[in-house]
Amino acid sequence: MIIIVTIAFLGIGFAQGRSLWQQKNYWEFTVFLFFMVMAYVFSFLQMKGVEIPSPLPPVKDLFTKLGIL
Amino acid sequence: MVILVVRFYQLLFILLLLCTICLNGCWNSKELSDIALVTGMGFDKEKVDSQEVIMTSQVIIPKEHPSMAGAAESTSEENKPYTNLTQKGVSIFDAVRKTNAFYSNKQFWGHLKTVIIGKNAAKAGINSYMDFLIRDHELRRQAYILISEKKPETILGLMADMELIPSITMQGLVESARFSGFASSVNLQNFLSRLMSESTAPIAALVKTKKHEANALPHVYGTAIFSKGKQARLIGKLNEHETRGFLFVIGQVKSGIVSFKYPPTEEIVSIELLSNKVAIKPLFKKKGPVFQVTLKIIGALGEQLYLGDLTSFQAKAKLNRLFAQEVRREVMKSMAKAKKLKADIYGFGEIIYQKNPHYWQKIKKNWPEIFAKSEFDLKIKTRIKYSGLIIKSPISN
Amino acid sequence: MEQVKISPFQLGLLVISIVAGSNLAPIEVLAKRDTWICIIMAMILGSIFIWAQTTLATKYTGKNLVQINELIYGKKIGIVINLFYSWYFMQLIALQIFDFSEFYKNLMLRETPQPVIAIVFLLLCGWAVWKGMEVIARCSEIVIPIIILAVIGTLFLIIPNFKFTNFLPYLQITTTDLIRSSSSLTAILFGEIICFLMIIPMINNHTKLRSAIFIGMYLGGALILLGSVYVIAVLGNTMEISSYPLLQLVRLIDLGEFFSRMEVLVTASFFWIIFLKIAVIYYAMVLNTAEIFKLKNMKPLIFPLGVLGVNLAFILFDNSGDHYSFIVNGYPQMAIPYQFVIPLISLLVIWIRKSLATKKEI
Repeated sequence: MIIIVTIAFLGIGFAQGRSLWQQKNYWEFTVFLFFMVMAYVFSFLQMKGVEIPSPLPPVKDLFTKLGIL
Repeated sequence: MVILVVRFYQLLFILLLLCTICLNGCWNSKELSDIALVTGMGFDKEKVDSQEVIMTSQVIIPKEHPSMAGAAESTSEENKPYTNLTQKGVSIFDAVRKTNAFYSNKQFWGHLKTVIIGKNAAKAGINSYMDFLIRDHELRRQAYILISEKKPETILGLMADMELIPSITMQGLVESARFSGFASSVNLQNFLSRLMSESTAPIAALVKTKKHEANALPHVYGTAIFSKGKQARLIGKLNEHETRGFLFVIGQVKSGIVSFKYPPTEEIVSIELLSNKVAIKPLFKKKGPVFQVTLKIIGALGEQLYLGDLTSFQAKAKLNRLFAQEVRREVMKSMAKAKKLKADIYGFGEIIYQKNPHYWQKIKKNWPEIFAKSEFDLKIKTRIKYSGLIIKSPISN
Repeated sequence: MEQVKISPFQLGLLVISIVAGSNLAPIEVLAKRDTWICIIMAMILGSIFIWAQTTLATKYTGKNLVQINELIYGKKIGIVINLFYSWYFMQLIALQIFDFSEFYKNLMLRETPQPVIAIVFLLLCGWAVWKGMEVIARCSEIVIPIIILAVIGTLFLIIPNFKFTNFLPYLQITTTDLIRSSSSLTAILFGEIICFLMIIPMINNHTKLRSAIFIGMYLGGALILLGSVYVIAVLGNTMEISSYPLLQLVRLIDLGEFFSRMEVLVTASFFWIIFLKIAVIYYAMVLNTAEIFKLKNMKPLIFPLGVLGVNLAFILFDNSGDHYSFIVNGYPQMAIPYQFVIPLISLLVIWIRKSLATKKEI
């Protein structure tokens, strides 16, 4: 599974990145690379089974703390 | 540049293939030859207090449909188009999975037609077993529930008559019970609704065997009444006429024959029931609720063994009166039984809750006792049509 | 970015698909018989939300959310607010993906791993987003009317099972629960229209903008109301335990041995509606991020943002029970700031500036 995902990422990154580089859109290339790396890191961590904490606010929500509801 | 375009389209093609493979469920495909189509299920316990449940599922074996000439031979033991699988387990799901130890196909519940519950399991309480029937995502709630005195395996093995598979026969029997009004047809949805209600007692139809030529046939009759509380236990039964009395009050008698004796000769006159409307009005008094039940029943003269003229005004009035009396008798019998069992099978508690929630909050704790003591003001309005191909009996004095 | 134009009719249809593509099961468990009252209240509250959002859009014709925020708050604070919106859209899409893949996994494709369903579906949506908004809008033009007709037609078949006494007694719900349900419903159904603020500049007739969105909202709300009225009337007290009440409802259709197993039709329609909903939110999210980073072309970001969305979808909840209680308890608090509070503050800022400017002139 990890291999398939890595190949997919490399393939798309290569194809898209090369077209961006050749069109001399360096800023776009950087942003694209940044997001690709972030996506790959998260996918890798997920597939390895690493527990990433949920970013959602906990269910004991603000309103109950404020006493409303 | 061309290479990149070609690569892109190749990638796209692979992605599309992936979509077609995964999105239409190929990963999860169920072939017809790999599943066991379950049309009937039965569960029972060995004794009322045993922990384990014995589950029987009736699985269809797809075969060529036998021709009429060969029907007699093909319903012998070896050529049955179904098979019953019995297994013990601590829960129904447990028993279902254990069945796979001796039957390779996985059971598919999408065609379940009847659920037969044995007497011991019914007396022990069936709340907990309902969970499997509701939670499973393949089960549809149109399956009928039947309670049987004998073991469910016996009932599921009874020789079917028109249909070749017993559970489908029983589904037909329950549905045609509406032609007589002598059995209540309860499917899983109705049963669940009654189970989840705070006041209404769950009911189900009963099934027993009846001798027919050399074989036994399933015979669907009456109503089984369950108690409310932590477990729904079987507490009583209504026989055929009492069931009809009960069904009159909830307005579900679609058809049937009411027969009574016509004085002075005490010969039978039969009225065919055409429609049954009921209006229930609760009065909230301090000492307890009073229910005004108004029944409007339309019937047609079905058969008269009485050799007299029933078309005169006096005869019509007398006929209506006797008809109403007979209906009243059936209704009062069923009410007496329900009150004795302290089971609100009519849904009167729900009616109180819907019309007056405050009053309901006060009386809901003691509802079984209050139901047993509450008064019923029964009014029956009947109308008899004279349809049929003859106006009056050919031999009349 | 793209110079595509969509018509107000297409916009309205997309709004309907966003509103109708929500799963109301957690609210129905809470509100029970009075769900229909909560939906009507949510429509009233939702009108206020959408009024705020569309007023903001009409004050700056032709500009999308990112540009509006930058114009109102200035470059620095504008970028911060836009990043927050980007994060909100990401969470929105993750929630939708989780909802959808859980629905399919529990009901139809039990043995397929949930991420696989999500990934394949995202690939489809990603392809739609790659092709552009015009494609998605045209698709909705064909698909949504057919689906609405199919679903309403199917629901006609359940009418024999109606029991109107299931609606009594009225208003048994406590006021707290009523407020909780209504605010949840507003946030789930109508507040998500905020993502349309990214797409509004593409409309080809700006005067019809408000009416398109409002009509879409009311029609979508009417569909949801119809669905929940049917659920209450037929399922009665058994609706509290269903995960998917509408599906359970359609399963009970059994007319004359011919109209049976209609849940297949409803599931297929649901698939289309969710596809359009996720495509729109996906588009809004990618466009939002691309505008923040001042990219000329948003297409490169489609893939990585989609993958991040899927990852987030499976990080969000530990189990399904968490999901349900989050939708009722946590989601309104998380979403209403983005859907209503920030647009309201933006409007206030515009109003204050205008009155200060007129005061200065005087």
